[in-house]
Amino acid sequence: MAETQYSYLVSEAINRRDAQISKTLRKSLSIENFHDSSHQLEALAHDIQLVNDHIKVDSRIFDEASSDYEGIASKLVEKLHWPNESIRIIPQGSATTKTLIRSPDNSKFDIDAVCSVDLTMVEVSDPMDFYEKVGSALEEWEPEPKKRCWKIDFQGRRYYIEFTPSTPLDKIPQSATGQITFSPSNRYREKALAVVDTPSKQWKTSNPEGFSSWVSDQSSRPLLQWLLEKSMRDSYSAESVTPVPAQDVEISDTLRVAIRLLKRHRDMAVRRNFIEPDLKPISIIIVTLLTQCYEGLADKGAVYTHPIELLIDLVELMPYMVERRGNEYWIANPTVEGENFAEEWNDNIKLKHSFDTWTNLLLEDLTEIMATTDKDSRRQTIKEVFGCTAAQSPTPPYGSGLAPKKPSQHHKAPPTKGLA
Amino acid sequence: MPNEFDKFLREHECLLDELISSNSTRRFPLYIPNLPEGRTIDKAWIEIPRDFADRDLAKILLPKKYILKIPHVEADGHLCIDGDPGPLSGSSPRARIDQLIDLFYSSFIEPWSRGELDSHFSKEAMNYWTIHCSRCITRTQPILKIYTTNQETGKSKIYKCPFIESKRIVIAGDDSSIRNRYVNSMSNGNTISTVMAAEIPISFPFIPDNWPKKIKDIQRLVTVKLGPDDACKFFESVGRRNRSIHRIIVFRAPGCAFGYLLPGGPPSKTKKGNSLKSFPSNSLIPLKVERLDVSWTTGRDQHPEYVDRQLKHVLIIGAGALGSPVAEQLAKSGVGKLTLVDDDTLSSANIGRHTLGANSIGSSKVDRLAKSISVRWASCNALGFSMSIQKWLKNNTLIDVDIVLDLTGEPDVRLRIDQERKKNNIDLVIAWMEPYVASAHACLLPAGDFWVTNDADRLKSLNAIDWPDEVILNEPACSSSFQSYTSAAATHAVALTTEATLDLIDKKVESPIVRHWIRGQKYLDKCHTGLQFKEWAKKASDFDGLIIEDNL
Repeated sequence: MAETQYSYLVSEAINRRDAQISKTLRKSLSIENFHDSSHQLEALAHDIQLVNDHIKVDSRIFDEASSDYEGIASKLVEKLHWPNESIRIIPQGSATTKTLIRSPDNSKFDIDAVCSVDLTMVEVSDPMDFYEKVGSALEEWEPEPKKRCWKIDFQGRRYYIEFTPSTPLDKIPQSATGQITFSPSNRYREKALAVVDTPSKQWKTSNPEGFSSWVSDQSSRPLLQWLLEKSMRDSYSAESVTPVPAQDVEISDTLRVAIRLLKRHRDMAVRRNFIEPDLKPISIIIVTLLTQCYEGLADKGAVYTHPIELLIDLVELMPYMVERRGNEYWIANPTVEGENFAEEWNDNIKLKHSFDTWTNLLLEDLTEIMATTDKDSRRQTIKEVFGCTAAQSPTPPYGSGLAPKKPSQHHKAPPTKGLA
Repeated sequence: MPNEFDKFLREHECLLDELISSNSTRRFPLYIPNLPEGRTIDKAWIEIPRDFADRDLAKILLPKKYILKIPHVEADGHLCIDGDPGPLSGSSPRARIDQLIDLFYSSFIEPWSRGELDSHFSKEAMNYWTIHCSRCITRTQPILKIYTTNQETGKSKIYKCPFIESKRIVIAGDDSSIRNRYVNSMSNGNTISTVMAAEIPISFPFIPDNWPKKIKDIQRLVTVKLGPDDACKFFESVGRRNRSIHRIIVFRAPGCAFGYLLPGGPPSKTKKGNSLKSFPSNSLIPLKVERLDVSWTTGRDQHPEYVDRQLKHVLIIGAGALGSPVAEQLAKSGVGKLTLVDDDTLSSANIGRHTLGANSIGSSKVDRLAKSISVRWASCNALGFSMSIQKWLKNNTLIDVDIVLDLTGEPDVRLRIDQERKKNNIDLVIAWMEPYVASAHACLLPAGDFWVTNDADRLKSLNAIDWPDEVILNEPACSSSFQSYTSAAATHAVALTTEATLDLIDKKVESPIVRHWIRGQKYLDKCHTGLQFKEWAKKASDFDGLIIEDNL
């Protein structure tokens, strides 16, 4: 099998990793006989599934967000008189990779969307004019300007929308094409866009849709033995496939589960004060490293009998997927040539140290989980590690009407303690 | 009536059958709806005390297992929500119970079920930490509380600091001057020993779910925060001659802090009768932390300028009825250093208007005042020089002084200071009171502006009233004279002078100005017949008092 870019990185990572978690798991399993080991893995998978369910964002949120996107697009049409057909809203980031997670304190989270506008159909003079026009059209929501997007806080929603004005690369005025930062890579080139980089006031190549497709395409490559077998059967007769229980499908979607778990672990490491909020590893780095790793394993033809084993490999190999190019750390955006997600690490080494601190904590925590053979204590440990305690459990929809009767009166203020 | 209330309680749709009680307090379990998994509550009850109708409040309690698991459940299990409005609200007992029950569901059960109370642990972090500490406290633990004197800097530090054994408190901080003043203030002469402290900034307050519970948790967090080498040094630190030493950790979050005493320090000794018992220190103990840094003690974090004032040195000449309270106010306002110069001793005639009292009669005013200020407001280093300013200037200069306050009202002092300021570019406040404190004046002269212009002393021209001679009283049996006024009336002058001084310190005054406090004609008439304002001051006439600001 020919070595690919990521299979090479994975091979290097395999040589460098400590493999402490997998060793601990094997040691724990070896105490049991085969049958019990299988049960142990199933119980572990069940516990991981609980965490996954706990941190996942209710899919109804995306429906709400979709209607908000439409509202935003209508506003652009109404205020800027841009033709309806010139605007296309593309959800991006964790909303499209299905890796959005709740924040540990149930506070609002970000949902990203790109607004792709065909600049040949509208009137804008330069990138900043385009960015500002979109911002002014959204003024009733008092958008907050960010580096490349507008952040909108919709009343009554559990999320902010980060809204990035963009245009298809081939719709940029001829005069500006020479000034675009970065160029699209060969992968998903047709989905590439240009966004406005406000610090430099220039166009910058971006490919959020391509990136999401990359994650989706990789995650659908079967690395689990039974999925491989299913895939082979599928190619002969779709009717012969036994329906797989939904729960199994969820945990078998190992790449996405890994992304969610690691993002949650990172968020908990911040809440627990292990890492500074402004130094926390950004989600795009976690997603890229894990997907690279997954792709590398698939390219190598790796096959796993249980998703837990695959999950452990992804976690153990991920820290070693960071490339060194000369003296620089590199985490390349596979869809944009020359874009390095670790660029800031090279200017601020504390960011790299923070990443190392977090991955060490992650490895320690997972090793402890794997070392625990008693099911109840292990479940407790997993819940603690991922912050799945009572005060951080998911919340039901509003308006549950739990009181047996409506408040009967206007409430009077209780006696106070005074102002001294 | 009681029967009706009984009936109301018995038939209330939210109350279940009354519990049998051993005392006169009545208890009714509350109906609890089905709550989502992880948020279930199996019991809650309302307690109605015997004197509920006339005096006491009804409250709701939850089983103690929910303490530190659900926000707003206090140390005794009672639910801290706005509840019973009390008998003085005018509500009937029935309406009070109804309100309490309504609020139980609308302010507690429903928001809890929706996760809306989850962030309340961190909003009221210190409350829950105090509950945690009180649940872990032991009679023999060597340290009960840590006081911190450092400002929040965002940097981790390891240092040794004093431990007042008899009071079981540690004064933590690496600035020895302010820390030692606090030790002097709080030790009352008791034995001081040393502990090793790690002060570690954190971004989020600890909450019950995530505060370190085991030594392993602490080791992990400290190692990440200090780095493995410093963490190892800290954990393995020993005292003199290799004796064990207490090691404390202060985690400082924005606006609050959390302390720990690590196991392994020297045993604490407790005297019981004639015998001395030793108790080993072998568990991880959470400790309350109280801040003594100036941002908190002088401004409750609401006045950022207080921190800059710590770097200021104010020279006050004259420590009498005006100077002594102004000195105290400046100390309370965060000024870091005060030098007090006055050659007078306190006499019985002074104590009605001075901040010192009878226990200082016969002592140097500035010596006693400086000591008193340093002990009471240790963020201020106050020094007293019992001598005239002329003598003080023979051995000292104004080189490290930021601002001079001349509160003597004496022309030769004004002249001398004006000359000295020509050598050192510093700010000046000259303040004085007229008889009865019918008016008071604070002249603010930024560096480079001088008091004497055209060889003239401007003080008298700034007075609001032309005073007849009989207003100045002579002391019997001596040649000295004094003005009549009360301490209460002088308080206005103290405020005027202190605020003016702080404005100069905070660089809010760019050109020379004078601020006058002038009482109205009614006050003047009460003090002495026939008193009249100068023309410019007549605008105060109709008021009880007026502050006027003019250019100087």
